Amino acid sequence: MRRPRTPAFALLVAFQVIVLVGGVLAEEAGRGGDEVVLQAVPVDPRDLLRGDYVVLAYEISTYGAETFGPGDVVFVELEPRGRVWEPIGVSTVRPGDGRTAIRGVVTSSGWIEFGIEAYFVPEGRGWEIETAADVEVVVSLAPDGRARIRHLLVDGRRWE
Amino acid sequence: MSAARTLDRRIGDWEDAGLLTRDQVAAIHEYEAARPLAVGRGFGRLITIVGAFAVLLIAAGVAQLVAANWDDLPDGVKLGMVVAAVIGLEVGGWRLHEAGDYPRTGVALILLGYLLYGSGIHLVAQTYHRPLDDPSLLLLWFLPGLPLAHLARSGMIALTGVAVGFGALGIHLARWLEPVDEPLLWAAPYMAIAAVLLAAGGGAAAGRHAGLAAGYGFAGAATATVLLYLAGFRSAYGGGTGGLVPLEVPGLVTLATLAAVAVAASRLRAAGPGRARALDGAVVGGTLGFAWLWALVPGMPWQVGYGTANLALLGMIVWLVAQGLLSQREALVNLGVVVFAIALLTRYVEIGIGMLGGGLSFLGTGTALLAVAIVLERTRRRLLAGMAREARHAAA
Repeated sequence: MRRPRTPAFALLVAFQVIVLVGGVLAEEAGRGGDEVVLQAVPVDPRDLLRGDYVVLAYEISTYGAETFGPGDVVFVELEPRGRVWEPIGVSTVRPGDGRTAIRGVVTSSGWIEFGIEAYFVPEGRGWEIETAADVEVVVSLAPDGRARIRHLLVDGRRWE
Repeated sequence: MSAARTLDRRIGDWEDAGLLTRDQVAAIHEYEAARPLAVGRGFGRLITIVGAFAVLLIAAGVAQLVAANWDDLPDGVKLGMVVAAVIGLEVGGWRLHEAGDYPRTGVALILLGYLLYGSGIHLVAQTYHRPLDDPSLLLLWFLPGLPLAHLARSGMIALTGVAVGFGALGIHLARWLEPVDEPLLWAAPYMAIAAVLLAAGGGAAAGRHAGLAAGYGFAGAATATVLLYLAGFRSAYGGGTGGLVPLEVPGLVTLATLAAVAVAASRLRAAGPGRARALDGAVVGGTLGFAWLWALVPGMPWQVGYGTANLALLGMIVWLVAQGLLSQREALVNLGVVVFAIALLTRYVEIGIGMLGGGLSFLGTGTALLAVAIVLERTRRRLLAGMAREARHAAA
């Protein structure tokens, strides 16, 4: 007997909708964590293959990375120094006791990637960030240390 | 002129030339009237091509229109548009496909919906400034691809799904192999998956999933052939500084081996043993052999790797042409002929350029290219004419 295929097809469509809507809900939920401000350095304002976005490097991107191997998951512990948060230690174990830490992965080029290295901007506006004297990134940290960009502070003002 | 009218005209010519009797002409007309789809087979392929082209044009047009106003739209509206488009295209495509009147148009719409779903995943990532090279994005895109292809029995959706899956695997491999420096290790999982695809494209070719099987078979054959071609260069060996092979690589190869064996066994049972099936089995086995060789002996002496890869490439080309002729799949013949030409030319350049002077080598390469092109075109025509004769024999 031929099995009805429409229910299976409906399940596949539902799966795709759940992935898209679930992705948004997960991102929104992850934005509710601790908020920190990181000092950034824009590196490359445009990649022709991926549209207009700013590649961000952070002062904490090289902090203690030389003591770990490529692929290692590390936690950089942060403390506020004025408005900007700065690194005070790095370890493969997440610090406890309510201390604030950001999760990253060491790359073969000796940097730590935190998953917040790209900031997508409306087409043609990348230069505003590229030419700014000071760029800071407001980041929310999930309980497991994963970071999400909330917004940018360009020359001290929120960039829209 | 329609295919039916062309056939009528040709039959009339043959009758006038005394090749067919009046009874035979009547029998042919009766037979073709009972099988209208057989006359329209070539036309069906045209619809597929036109449908695919239309899908690409619509996708490009929508992308252009939306991109121009994209920045001004709120994020919720953007996502809502994508979700609505995915649901509309896939459900609409499915209804057309299942109704039976426009199955090819239906498949084209489902494919467009699947492509939009992938764009939507990347849109969400971009909206929240997530890195677009995150492997989970392509993995989520890949997951519904092959089930959709299976339900719609579409080789085109299967090929798209396989391509997305290979992209996801590539990003994972780049991360797993970051601490390891062995040139051919990355190719092992791809080769093992090529074996699964070859097994899936084998015995089902004559069944009701013929289009789907052809998609899998072509994807597997193309992947294995390209990898053997790359492994057939002297420069593919040595230079690596080694490193512990990450467990993910042999793990993936093991899983793919089990899958290939299971799929091949089920296909053999369904289609019954035969010379062609034995040949299919040998190709699947050989492909798995290379996957294991590259996974477990990445630092092998270059003479071993170079020699075996080139021999296997030659065997693969012969199999592609033979399998294409046996199963009446023109794409396999074309693939075999093209790979043979590319391999021949690159070997000539690799070996010949160093032995000749600059000007002489350009002259030689140009002449060889022309000669190869002529020979290939003649060979291809002869092979395809043979296929057409076979088809006529079978119909008679």
